[in-house]
Amino acid sequence: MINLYDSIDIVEEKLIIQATKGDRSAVGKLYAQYKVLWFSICQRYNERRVDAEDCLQNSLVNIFTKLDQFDHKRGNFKNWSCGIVVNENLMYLRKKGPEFSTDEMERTGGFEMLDERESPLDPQHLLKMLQKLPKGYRTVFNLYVLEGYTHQEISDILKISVGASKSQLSKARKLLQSILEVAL
Amino acid sequence: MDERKYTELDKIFQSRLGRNNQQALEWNTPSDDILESALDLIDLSEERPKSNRLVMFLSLLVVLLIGIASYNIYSVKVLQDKLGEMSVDPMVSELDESPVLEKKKIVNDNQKNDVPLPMSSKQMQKDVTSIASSEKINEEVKVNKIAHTPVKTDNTILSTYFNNTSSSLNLPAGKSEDDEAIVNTLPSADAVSELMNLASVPTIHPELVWTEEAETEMTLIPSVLNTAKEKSLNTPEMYLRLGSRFSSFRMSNVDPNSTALVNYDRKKFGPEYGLGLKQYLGERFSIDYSLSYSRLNNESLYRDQMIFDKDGAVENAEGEMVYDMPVQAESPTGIYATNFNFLLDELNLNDGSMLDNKTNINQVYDVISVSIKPGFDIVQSEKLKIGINAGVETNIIFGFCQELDMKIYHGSEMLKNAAMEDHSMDYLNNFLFGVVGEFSADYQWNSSWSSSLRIGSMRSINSLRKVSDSNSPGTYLEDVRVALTTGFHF
Repeated sequence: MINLYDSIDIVEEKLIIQATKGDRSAVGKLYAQYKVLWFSICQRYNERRVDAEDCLQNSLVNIFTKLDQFDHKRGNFKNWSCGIVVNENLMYLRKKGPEFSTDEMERTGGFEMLDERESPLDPQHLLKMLQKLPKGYRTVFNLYVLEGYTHQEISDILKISVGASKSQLSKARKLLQSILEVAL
Repeated sequence: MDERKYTELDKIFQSRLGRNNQQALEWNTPSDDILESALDLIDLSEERPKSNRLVMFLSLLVVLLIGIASYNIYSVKVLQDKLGEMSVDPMVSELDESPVLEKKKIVNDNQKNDVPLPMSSKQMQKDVTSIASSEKINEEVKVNKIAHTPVKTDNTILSTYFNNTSSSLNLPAGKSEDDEAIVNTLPSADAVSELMNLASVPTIHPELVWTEEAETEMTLIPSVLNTAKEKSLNTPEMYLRLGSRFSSFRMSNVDPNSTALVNYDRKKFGPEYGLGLKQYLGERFSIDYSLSYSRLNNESLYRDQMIFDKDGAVENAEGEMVYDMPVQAESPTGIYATNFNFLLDELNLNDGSMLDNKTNINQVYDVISVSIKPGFDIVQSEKLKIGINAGVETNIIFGFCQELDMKIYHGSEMLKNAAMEDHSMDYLNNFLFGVVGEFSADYQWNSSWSSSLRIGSMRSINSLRKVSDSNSPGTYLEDVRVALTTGFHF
């Protein structure tokens, strides 16, 4: 007997095989299934929507050109594709601006007042808060809290020290905490 | 051990923005146009049959060059074999194996390395018969020949030789039957020297010596000299080339009155490696085939100024006031334009402020060049040859990388920075045809090895840019090249 999750995997596997062969409708279906997740990752790393869209586009190119390298036995498509999206975002940030530095200046007073109709804990509002963080804080917070990397891994990825990674995470938390406290 | 420790705040973010909470993010849907654009990009990257054609074309060229080289080697070998067959007369070879008889060569003391003249057996026979038929030949020589002992002296033979050939060579004849007198009355030292350089004296067989008439046959001597020349001319030279190209572009696509392109660095140089084949077609005329790889670099520095117009700001979908600033930069391959978006609040500029666009564009081209250049030696001495080559060249661009770094400044404060790396060759012509000229100074170390210094220049006759209209007619590659070569005659 095939349970629901297995059947989803089978459908997805078929879609991936078809997409590998260049079937555009299969590519469209995969995109429809994961576009929200992929885009939310891009938005978490980028302050501006236009940059997030650029990153998503680059990620899609990478995902669909490397689709033949995906191996079901090694993990699921969702994690594999999200990994590509995260990498693409990190590359984009590296290209766009200066290297991540440990002495990045804190922004002060850059946060907007909350819309009273929104709950401070809505995903939309939390995303806005995250986007307003300085780039270094935002990136470390994303990698540690939302992607699950360790400080050692973050230091390797961003070429910063473990101490700097911890410090940026701590500052990011403080800033977010202070905003949330005001909102709540 | 680096354990992850999540706070309450972290858990709030994880539950709402994490990968497992997709439904909560439904409000944030990207446009389907993004997928379309991505698929277009994928299609473009897959449309690369050109590169296959390029590889095929290159392979063909390599095969062609190897073919030319092999043909040259083969023809020289055939010539040598023929000469060998003709010169190894059965009787002569029999004598060669004789322990008593030695084979002697005349060696010019000044040019010991010179290639000895290969002579056909018939020619040798004629030479020998001429010697034998002479009445002036001395008894000692005759005795030596009959006894199968080595010829006494080379000079003696040559003196006799010239004495008999004097009529055909217009040399004064010897006057005495005396051997020494004959030696002393050698007609021309230069003529002897020339022959000594070119000829080796064959082993003399007694039966040949007295069997043929001599006098009428001596007119063949000049053809012996021609054979020697032909042989040396037909010897091709394979060479390795190591050099550098200082490349530049004639940019007719850029407005001549443009002051924005403040510096176009023509001093950039790139390495060049290659190999070639030089083949003499006549005494001074040669043809040179070469295949080389080079990397061309150039840098364009573009500086422009713009006036900030606050009224140009528009409100975006998120209710923010955004100022779109169109900026452009000129490079040898085209004009790059983009829009910079500034949040008006972030800019904090007064209306009419001056903004500076400082853009650096670095380009790298990987090029394979194939050229055919007829050449002419202006100066030919024993060791040194100075010549010119001029011909045609095909430059095949198979790799391209462009880095564009655009910065917008207000005074000394940098407002925006955009970087781009581009490998697309869609707007470039893969094949640049050009005319090439080269001066060469060639030093011959010995009969096998030579080195040369080559200084040349190339101008392309078709545009680097694929799209060219009346406003941007094209960009043409030029270069100055310096190379050292090491050649080997085979």
